[in-house]
Amino acid sequence: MKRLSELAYVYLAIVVVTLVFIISALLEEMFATKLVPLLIASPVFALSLIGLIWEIFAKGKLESEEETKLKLRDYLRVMGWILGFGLAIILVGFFIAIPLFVLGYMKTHGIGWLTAIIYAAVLTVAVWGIIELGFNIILYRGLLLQALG
Amino acid sequence: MVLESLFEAMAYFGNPVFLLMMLAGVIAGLIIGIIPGIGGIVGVAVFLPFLFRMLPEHGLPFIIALISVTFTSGAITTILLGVPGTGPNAATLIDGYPMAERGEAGRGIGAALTASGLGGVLSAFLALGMIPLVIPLIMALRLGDMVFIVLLGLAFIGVLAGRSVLKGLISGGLGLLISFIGYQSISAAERFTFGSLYLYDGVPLVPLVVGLFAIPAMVDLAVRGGTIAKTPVVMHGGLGEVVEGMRDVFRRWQLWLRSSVIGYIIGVVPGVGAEVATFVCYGQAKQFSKNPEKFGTGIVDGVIAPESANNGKEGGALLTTLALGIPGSGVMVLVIGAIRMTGLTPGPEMLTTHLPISLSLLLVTVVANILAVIICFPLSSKLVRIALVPSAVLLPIVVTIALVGAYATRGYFNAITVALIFGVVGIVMRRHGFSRPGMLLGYVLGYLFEYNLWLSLATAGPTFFLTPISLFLITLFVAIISLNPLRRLIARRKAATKQ
Repeated sequence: MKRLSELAYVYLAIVVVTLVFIISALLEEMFATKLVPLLIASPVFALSLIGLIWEIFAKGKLESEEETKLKLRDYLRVMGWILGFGLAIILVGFFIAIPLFVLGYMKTHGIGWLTAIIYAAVLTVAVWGIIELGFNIILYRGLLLQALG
Repeated sequence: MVLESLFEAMAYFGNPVFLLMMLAGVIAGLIIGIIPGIGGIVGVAVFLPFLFRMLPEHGLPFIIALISVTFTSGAITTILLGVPGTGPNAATLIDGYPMAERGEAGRGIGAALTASGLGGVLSAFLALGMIPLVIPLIMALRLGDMVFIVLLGLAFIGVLAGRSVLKGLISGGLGLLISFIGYQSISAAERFTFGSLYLYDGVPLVPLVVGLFAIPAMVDLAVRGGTIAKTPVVMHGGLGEVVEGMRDVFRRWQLWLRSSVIGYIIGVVPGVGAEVATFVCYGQAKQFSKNPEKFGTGIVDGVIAPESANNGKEGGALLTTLALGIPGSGVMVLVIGAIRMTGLTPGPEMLTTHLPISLSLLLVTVVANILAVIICFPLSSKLVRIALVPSAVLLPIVVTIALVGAYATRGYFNAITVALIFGVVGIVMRRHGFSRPGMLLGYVLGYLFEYNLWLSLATAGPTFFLTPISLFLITLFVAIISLNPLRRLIARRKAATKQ
């Protein structure tokens, strides 16, 4: 069986998402609630299905599995850092997550200790000063710290 | 009415906070433009969250000043490092970098800065002059026409700005669907929230923007390997050489004028990027030159033409965005988002009820361009060092600012989740050629689309679209989405005939 391209999987995901919108809209009771979403979701569903079929039967040369894995690995690596930062914010809050992320990322990507520490400290203080003092917004302290009271 | 509003607009410049925000926007725009790989879109995406807490007359000058000057400083990186600071600076590279290699870096920069600054000023005045002509057209629009203007906007951005009609339309459609999530005022029902209280007010704009634009740009920068491992060309001649470049623009004023006007006209057409304007103007400069064979070897005309166009485009793009609510370019999609965040509605109201604010934004374009040139003239060789900041430093700083900003708008940590989800979506879209500005436009204008559609149906019935303007807009919509497939069909037939 022919290996599907990355783009085919993307079209498949869009088909699934639009199908969810269509089914949810059909389940709505009021006509005013369902009409416009159905009006938009249906052609998007059809277009993404056309795209998927086109990709499945496309005669173009797929890049090698090795090339795709290499490129994907790079993106996943960087995205992993950012997702980890997001998770850290949710768990321990901004004021612990920010210096950890900045220090960790810079150090593992070739920046020296002192420079990384200075950037981490300056950024954390700047965020605190501008957001909490300047805009009067209390930044999230994290689920763990909130649980500990 | 226009004259009165113009005086009101000028009065904003007496407000110190207005001036401070404009200056801050100029500085932010210059820094963003200098760093390759980060354009005006990413800059606006990162700073957009902070507009939420500002009055329109404070936040909007910052954004407009920022986007007005990114190409100006981008020229410095282009000429001194041989790497385009922003996409539209690519045309400047053809002659700008050879000039620098030949020892005329200062002259190239002087010409680029002057052409860019004056191009931006001229285009803002052209836009100001066109407003009295545009207002009667705006007043003739009805509710039903706005439905098709939204569709047309999606067609322009999703189809013309991208490479694939299919992907452009899908992107715009997905944006519209995202806008339907949450409470619907027409039926007072909530839709597609799947029980989530957070989504009751819909997907928030700021985390979506941050995720779609800022995160993919940083990931891309990191994957590509970050900074340019080059040493900037040294400017030997100092300020004298820079002034010589400035004189070149005045000596070649016809070239500058022609390029700025062409850039402005291209800017008025929605969805056409600044890259088109710069390369079209470069091409026409070569065509009309007495020495076309010298283009590409480091001729100052090859710098003046594209630089006049890239800022010349912005006034036209801003006018289209303010007047119709259709973005004149990709970055204008975010300007529409910024306008909405400040509580205003992009579109005809901006040239009627809020005309003074719109005029003040055009004046901001003028002043910002002048300020950018004044700042860059003496500091070019120092500013270019910002471009050498490694991605290992840039990424954590920009991502931190982006996620803090996403959180700060509503104060819920779910905003982080939304930003990260759309970060993944943005990366996938970027990798596979889907239109992120198209998706954002669909999201931003979705409410207007549905609201106007329902009102039109309620007042004029199912035949609401049978008006001259609506029929014209529908025809234009069909023409635009048919453009690429038709071109391909004609090309295939020609190839078949040749065989």
